[in-house]
Amino acid sequence: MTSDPREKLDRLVDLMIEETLADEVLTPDKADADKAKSILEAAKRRIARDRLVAARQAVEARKNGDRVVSLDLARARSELQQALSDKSGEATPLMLAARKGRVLSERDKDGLAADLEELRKLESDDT
Amino acid sequence: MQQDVVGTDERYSAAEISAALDGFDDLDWNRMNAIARRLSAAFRSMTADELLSEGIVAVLTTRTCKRSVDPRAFLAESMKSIASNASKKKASSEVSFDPALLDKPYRGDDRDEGPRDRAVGKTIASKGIADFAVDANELDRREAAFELANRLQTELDALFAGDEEMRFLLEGVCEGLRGSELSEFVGVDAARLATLRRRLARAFDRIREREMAS
Repeated sequence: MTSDPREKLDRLVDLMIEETLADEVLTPDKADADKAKSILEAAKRRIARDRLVAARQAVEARKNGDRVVSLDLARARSELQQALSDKSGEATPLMLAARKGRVLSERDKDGLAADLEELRKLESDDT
Repeated sequence: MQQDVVGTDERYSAAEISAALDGFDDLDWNRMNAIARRLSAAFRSMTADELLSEGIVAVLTTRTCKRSVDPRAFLAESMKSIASNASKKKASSEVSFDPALLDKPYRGDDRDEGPRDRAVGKTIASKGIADFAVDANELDRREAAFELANRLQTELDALFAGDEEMRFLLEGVCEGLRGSELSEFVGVDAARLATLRRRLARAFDRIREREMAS
């Protein structure tokens, strides 16, 4: 018999979720659904914006690296390569597209390259 | 950390989850809103809209989902986890660290047996103040979680006072009973149990209404 109220709370909430997901007699409410859909769209916009900001920061970081390149090109290139992937081709935790230590897919790399290209265009538009 | 774009044999990709969300019908969204509202009532940490928004962001970015799990359940679980964690963070930010709790000053390499940390039962003689502050926060989070859980139980008990079936249901659920074990414990058949379970889920709405009215 459990006396831990947190465990009880967890079980009550789990049951509530199960029941709500399975509730066949829930009354459809279009306005309520539309509100949720607008929250979905806003969330997607937020994710896109955050990714763009992260990509912009990556470009800034690369620019800073470029300044180091003028001092030691070989070392800077080596560091950049190391930042992008280790010898096994696995993503590093510092990478934007790191995937919990798993290997980056070609699609990931293409996506990152596309983001950077887009930012270069934005940068040139700004100047 | 981002979710796999492509996905794997075992897990959905972010794009697949996004497509699944786009495919939700109105009733699915009604259910998601209902869960968000009920979680908000249970954990009191965030509004229902905030929970839904943060839950969506999490399932599209940081969380991953096995293909055996329904995306609706995935989003619901994500909201639950966010609500629970937010209530803990809220609790720890509301109570400040009290230096008076330290009845023995920290001395570098002091290994003498010192006062016991009542939260986790460890000696604190060899700890720094920052470590102890973390433990104090952990203690605080645990106490807040106990308080939250006790409050919900008290409110549900009050809602169902005098209703023997619901009181047995509450007790059975809290003890981890499900299915036939639960219906046997409550003393009802499967159809009646389904009705009682639905009443319990909807009780969270009543708690929320009371909160909003107060």
